Parts: sequence; structure tokens; C-alpha cells
Amino acid sequence: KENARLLISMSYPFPLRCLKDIKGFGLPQNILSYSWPVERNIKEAFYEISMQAFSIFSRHSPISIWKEEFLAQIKSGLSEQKEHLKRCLEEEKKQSKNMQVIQQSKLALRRYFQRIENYLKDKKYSYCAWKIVAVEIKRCFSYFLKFTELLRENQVSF
Amino acid sequence: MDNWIKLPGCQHITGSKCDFFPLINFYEEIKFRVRAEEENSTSSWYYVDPFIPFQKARLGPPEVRLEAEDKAVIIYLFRPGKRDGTSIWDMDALSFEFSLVFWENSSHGEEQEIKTNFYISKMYDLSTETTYCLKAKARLSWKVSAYSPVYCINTTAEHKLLPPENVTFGARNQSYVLTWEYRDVNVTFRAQWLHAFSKLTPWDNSNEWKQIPNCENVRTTYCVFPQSVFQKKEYYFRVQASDGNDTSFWSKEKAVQTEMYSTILPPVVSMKSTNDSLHVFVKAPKKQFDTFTYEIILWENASHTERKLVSKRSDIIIPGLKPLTPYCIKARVLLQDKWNKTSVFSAVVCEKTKPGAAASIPWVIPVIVILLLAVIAFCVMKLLWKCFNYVFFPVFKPPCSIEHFSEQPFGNLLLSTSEEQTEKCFIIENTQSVIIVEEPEETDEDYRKYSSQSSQDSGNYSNEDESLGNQISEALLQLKPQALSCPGELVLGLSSLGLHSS
Repeated sequence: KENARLLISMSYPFPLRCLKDIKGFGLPQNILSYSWPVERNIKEAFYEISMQAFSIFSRHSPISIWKEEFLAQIKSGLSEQKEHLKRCLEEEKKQSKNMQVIQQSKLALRRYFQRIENYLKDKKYSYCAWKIVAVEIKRCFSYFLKFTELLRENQVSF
Repeated sequence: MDNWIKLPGCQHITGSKCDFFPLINFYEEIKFRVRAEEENSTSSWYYVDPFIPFQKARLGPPEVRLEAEDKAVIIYLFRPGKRDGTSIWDMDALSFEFSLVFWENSSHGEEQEIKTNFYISKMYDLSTETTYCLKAKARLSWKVSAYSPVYCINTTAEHKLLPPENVTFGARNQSYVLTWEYRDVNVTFRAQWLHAFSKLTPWDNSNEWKQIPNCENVRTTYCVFPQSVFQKKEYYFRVQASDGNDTSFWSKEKAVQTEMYSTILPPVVSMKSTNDSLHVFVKAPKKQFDTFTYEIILWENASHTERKLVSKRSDIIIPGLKPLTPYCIKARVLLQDKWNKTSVFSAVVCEKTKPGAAASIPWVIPVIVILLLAVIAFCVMKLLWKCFNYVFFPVFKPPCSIEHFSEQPFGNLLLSTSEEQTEKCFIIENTQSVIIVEEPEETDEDYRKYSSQSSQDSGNYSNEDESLGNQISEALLQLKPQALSCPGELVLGLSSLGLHSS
């Protein structure tokens, strides 16, 4: 949640001149609705999002839109989150049988982040492109956070 | 229907195997088909079962590069696949785990198995001028690669300047303190820091080590820097010695979670005293934390017995204290994080409680006295009113004929005389009284009802003309149900004229 807050705080201000570059990235929705066990898949989804977001900000530094300290803060936060989720998932994997099938949700998320990266490359990592990507990643976090909260309300034993 | 694309690098192949440059999406299902061609004829297509490349792909071994110091070896790891941004493993760069096998290349060399996520590792406490060897394999969830080839390296001769040792981290007031040990004098030191997450990224992070302010060219075996330089995250620190010409190798890296050490400022406390309790206000220095509570210690100035209170709120009322006694309090912040950190105590604030309940008794007595006086005055007023009515509404004997009407109202008679006074009420009754005459039943009820009420009010009512008095009061009482618009006192007066019930 702290990461979402950070991202939200730095998506603003959004310059109007960047509106022309807006592109729909097709955030994969409902990927968790039909998969089982839901709790584990949410953790995997968040792990994937944290890792991919970190990867994007790390490999191609968005220093045109963010100051270095702020970028470091975001990367630290994402890294911590990812490591924490990794430990959670490893414990679960020990308990359950190791499935050698890649979840559909993971593949959908990968394709989604690939679209984002391709967009950045096409736009040559411009200022506006980064701004749009920042907003998109924030949207992604918000969506999954909300999804998790809804699930929590509906399931007593979450 | 389908748009089959020719696979570059796999056209006109004479063998039974081809390598192709993967310009495909690794996470989407892909279909292949192969056919044989000869001159002008072709076979039919053989369709390969569709699959997802990422699912099917197998992991190659990692690459290794070694660098030698005198008593340590630095291991640089590279994940399998090309590093030009086209690899299928690009998106997994942060998920790789490596298993290393490290040994001394001699007869008694024991194998050490190390598991690491870091792309740069270091083996310490080795012997000088010795050969060490390493092989590594990579793991990505359930996919495991084969071992890489064995790489070996020789450690150098002993370096003149030793690296600093026992690097420790601590906090003091609003600063952090980094300390280390070093035997020789006449050396200067410099200390550097690194974000912990840099260790997980496969990109060269050796140039991401940054200089700590106030920690360059220091002659002391410690350096002090403000806490504001670092966020509450994980960092690595290292120290190096220099004697002008030569520099030592870097010390062992110290991992620090700064949140564990960061100082919390104490809160500010103020108090207000009420008669037997104290109203305490605690103000936290800055809104830095999510979950925290205040710990408040309270004691009487004279004694030493302390009372501890824990509260989440910033204003608390402490009841049940002795009045006119000086009490002192101090407070501190208790964080509910994994280290249960606390701040130091705030300054002590003392306040004397106000005079207590004993002093408040005196003012209760006058209130009671006033109430009694009010009751007495009220009774006097009632009596006056009775007299007043008696004087101004003279009792007269009704004609004998009327007496026969036992409970008939004398509303008419009364009305004629009282019209002079309170017109409002009786004007209404004027019309009503006729009705009363016609409907005796109702009046009976009212009479009974109100007689029971007013029987208590008789007080000092004189017993003269009792029977007539009864009758008059009957009439008056009958007026009461309609006389709702009358002022309260008048109604009361009327009913108080009432009866000593027979």
C-alpha cells in the first residue's frame, strides 16, 4: 500500500501535453477470479507486479520524471515488497506439491508488462512516455489492491 | 485463417535441427509446422503441438567471472541467456537463484556449497597465493540448469595495507555512527554505502557505491553523519584504508536496516488540572509512524511510586487523584514495529490538582437552602392565591333550587363573575359550558380524575362553606380539561383550590 501511495504521489502533476501519447495497455482484469487457490495466486500476482515494476524502473532509469532519491525510494519499496512475497511463496511451495505449470495469471501479467516495455522503447523513453507508464503502473497496483480488499470482505478465512 | 510466418534461420535446412532468433512472444501460445521440400514437391505439413515458449524453455548454465584479492575472491555471476535485451529470461532477471560450489584446489580442499540471489558475491578469509575454483548453476522456480564449467583463480600475495575490520553501525542522538577497527595509525579512511536492492540486479553495480558524507579522508576509526542522509531502508556499508599512496581492499560489507536504529524524538507533554483529575496532552514530534502508543508515567511529587499508563490517544484524563497534590508526568513513544523501539522520555511536567470534592461541598449547601426557600415561597404563593380567589371570587350561596343538581356545574354563575378577570380562558368556556350541562357523563369523569389529583393540594384551605366550596371547585375543575391554553399557574391555582376529598 505504501508503494501505491508513493506512485500516486508522483503521478501528479500530469502534464496535459502528454495526453496525446496515452495508450491503453490492456490491464489484465479478472485473471484471479477463476484461479485456485486464490490467496496464493494473489501473492504471486503481487510478486510479479512488484518485480516487473522494479525491473522497468531499474533497467531504464526514469530520471527524467523523478529525482534520484525518490526513484531510489520507489525501488527500495518495490524490492522489499518483492522479497517479502518471495519468502511467503517459498513457504507455501514447500507445503504444497510443486506444480510445474505456469499460471495463466502470470503469463497474462507478463504480456501486459511486455506491452508497457515495448511502448517505452517505441517512444524512446521520452518524458511523456514515462509519465504515462508511471500512471499505468499505479493503476495496476490500485486495481489489485482493491481486488484483494474485496476478496477479504467476502472471504472470512482470508 | 492463420497467418503462418516463415521462421528465419529455419528455411532450406538440410539437417534435422535449426536455431532461430526468437522474434516471438515468449508468453503466448505458439504453433509450428514443418514440411519437407524437394525440388518442386512438398510433403504435407506436420503440426507441432502448440506450446508456450516460456513454459517449455530450459535454463542454460550461468556465466562466471572471478576477481582475486589477497584474502578474498569476488564472484561475478551472469544469468543464462543473452544480455542484449532479447533473452527469454529478461523479465525474470530478479528471480534467479544461484547455487555455487567453491573449493580450494588442493588435496584437502573441502567443497563449500553456497546459495545466493546476489549477482556479486565475495568469499572472505582465504589464504594468500592459493588457487580456488568455482562452479555454479542457476535456478528459476522449478527450472534448474546444469552446472557451469569450472573456473579457477589464484589469490594474490598479501597486500600491505589491511582492510578495516568489524564494521559496526549505531545511532547517537540524531546521527548514525559507523565504527571499525584498525591496527595501524597514520592512515585515512573512507566509507561508502549501497542500496540493498542493487545487489539483486544483474547490472553492474560496482559504480553504484556512493560516498558517505563526513566519511572521506577521516583519521578516526569512526565517522558520524546525520540520520537524514538515509531513508528507513536496507543498506550496505564498507570501509577502506589509505596511507596516501596505497589503498587497502574493501572491508567486509555490513548490512544495515536503518529503521532498526533510527532515533525517535520524544513527545511533548502538557497538563491541565481539574478538581480531582489531570488532563494530559501528549504531542508526538512528527507524524512518522503508523502504529504507536504513548507510555505515560505518573507519580506524586513527594512519593516515588509510579503509575504507568498506556494510551493511543493524545489527550487523556487521569481521574481519581488526590486533590491539592502536585503530580508529575513524563511520556515516551512506543512503536509497535518489529523491534519495539521507544523514544527517550519527554521532559517532566508537574502540576498541582485543584481543590477536590471536599471543597465543592460548601456550594452544594447554599443550593439546597435556595431550593428549600423556593418550595416555601411556592407554598406561600399558593396560599396567597387561595386567599386572593377567596376575596375576589366571593363565595355565595346558590339558590336552593340549584342545589338539587348534585354535580351540575355552576359554570354559568362563575362565568358571569370571572369574566372580568381572565377573559381568554373563560371565553372559551363560555361556549363549552353549555356542552358540559348537556353531557353530564363527561364531567363526572373529569371531576373524579381531578379530585384525586388535587386532594393533596388542600393545604391550608379553610373549611368554611365547605359544601359550596366543593361545588365551586367542581365547576372549576371541569373547566380544566378545556383550559389548556391557560397559563400554567392559573391551572395550578384552580386545581389547588380543590378538594380535601370527601
